[in-house]
Amino acid sequence: MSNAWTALSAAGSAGEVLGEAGMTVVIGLVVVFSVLILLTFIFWLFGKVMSGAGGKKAAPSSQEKADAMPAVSAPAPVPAAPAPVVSGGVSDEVVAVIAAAVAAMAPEGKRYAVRRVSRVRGERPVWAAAGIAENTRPF
Amino acid sequence: MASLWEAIQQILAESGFAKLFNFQEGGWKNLIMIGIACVLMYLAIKKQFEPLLLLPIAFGMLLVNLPLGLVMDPQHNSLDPLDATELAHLQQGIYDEVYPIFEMGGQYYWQHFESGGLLWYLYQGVKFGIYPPLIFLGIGCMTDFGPLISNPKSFLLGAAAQLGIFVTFFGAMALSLTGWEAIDFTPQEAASIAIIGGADGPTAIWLTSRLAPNLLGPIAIAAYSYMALVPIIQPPIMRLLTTKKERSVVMEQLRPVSKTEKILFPIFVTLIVVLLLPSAAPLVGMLMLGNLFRESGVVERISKTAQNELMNIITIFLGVTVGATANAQAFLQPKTLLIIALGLIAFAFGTAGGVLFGKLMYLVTGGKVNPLIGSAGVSAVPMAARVSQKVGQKENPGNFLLMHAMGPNVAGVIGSAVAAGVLLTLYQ
Repeated sequence: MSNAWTALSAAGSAGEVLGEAGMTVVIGLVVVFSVLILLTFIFWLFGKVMSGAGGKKAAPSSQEKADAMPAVSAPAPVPAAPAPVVSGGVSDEVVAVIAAAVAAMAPEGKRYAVRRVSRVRGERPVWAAAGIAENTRPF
Repeated sequence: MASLWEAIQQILAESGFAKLFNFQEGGWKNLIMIGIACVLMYLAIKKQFEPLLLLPIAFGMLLVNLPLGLVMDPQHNSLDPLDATELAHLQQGIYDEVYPIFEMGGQYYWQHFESGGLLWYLYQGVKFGIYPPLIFLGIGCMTDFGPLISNPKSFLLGAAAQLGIFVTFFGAMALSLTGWEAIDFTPQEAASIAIIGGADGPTAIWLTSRLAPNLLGPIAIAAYSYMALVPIIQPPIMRLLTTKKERSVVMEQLRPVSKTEKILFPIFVTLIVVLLLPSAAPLVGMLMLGNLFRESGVVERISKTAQNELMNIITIFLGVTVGATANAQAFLQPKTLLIIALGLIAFAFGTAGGVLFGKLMYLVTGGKVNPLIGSAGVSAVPMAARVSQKVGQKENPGNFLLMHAMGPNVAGVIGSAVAAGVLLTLYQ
């Protein structure tokens, strides 16, 4: 008589042994899932609380930023050409940087105009992608 | 001249070589084990398969299979009664031996003591379950639980990937019913084999040392071999169970996690897991203590020691002594082959469980979760997460799943420790 047989059920049948083993599978999976579901719930709640606290803190700081903006942008020269169409919350600084990059790369003596600047949806910013590619290359 | 020749012959006859090539007394078994040790050393050095562990394991295996080396011989203590002559000498104040003498119930005894082999002493750290939790301390110091905290749903993938452990337990018990002696596993042995599916070497060693120390060698070697083979075993299963569309899912960026959250994480996990499952306390407790060292930022010296010097020392002790449990008599059994086969099944089911749960999350979230990160739930940190990253990037070169996969990956470490705790509670 096998060890498993004797250990699980002294005078049992194959069905009983498999039943005991099946019960271990059920108990094991239920306990593992219960513990980790509890942890999921706690840290989900935790995240909500923390992001709530963070949001409250962040709100005044963005307000301060907004207040400070006009002071910085006020002395900026008004562009003579019609301003490009900007959408998706792209800031003036980003438009200026894009225009400067185009100017740096454009052939000399050629005139150019930035007509439209819009954010590409669902894609990672190119610099973030380059950074991640750099960091994950060893893997 | 003749006496010199006789002396050389005697030395040779009493040497390990004579034992090794004495095939009637089973010297061939040791030769096979030395061959296996050499293959493992080749894999560790040339192929760099988990060399930090495989190399000491292989060398421990080599040492213990050299006859007369006695590196794993246990310490010997005995009390032998003094015979009449010795007693008479004792009464005259003459001592025949250097051993201490004890008197019990009017009878005098020599306390004979023979020290054990070096590796036997080091092995006590495995036997009493000391080394694996210390390795977990170092792992805790090295692990960033940030991806898991920012996406707590990853815990579920870490739980689903433990499926392999329990499926294999059932399979091993079912095999035992065939009544064939060679594949007859006790529930303790079945549980120890099944834990290979957790893809977590220290956890496998810890549970096996408690439930089935006789299988420690084959189980440790199978566990570490499969961990090294994660990049080969997992991708076909991942591709088989997912569609091209699912593999191409680009997941949203993870939210940044504050320092407070990172500090509170190990404390909360310890409280919850240990209160629910006290038997998981050594592994989870040490893992979380290490992580608290790391995240608190106030004990940098201790954190560095735990993840470098201490971890390296324990790795040497653990590796070489686990290898030394694989002596020819214990290792060359049909059971060993079956353990290796069952370990592979456990690993495959664990990967499948994680990926299938990932598919479920893909459906529930409306396609926001890439099911490939589920396979990382088998732990094997960080190799399994790298595999998710690589398989995902094959479909979409601009997709970076690494950080998303690290969540289930570290959740898998907690999950397999919990699964080990369950099996220990049920079968110790």
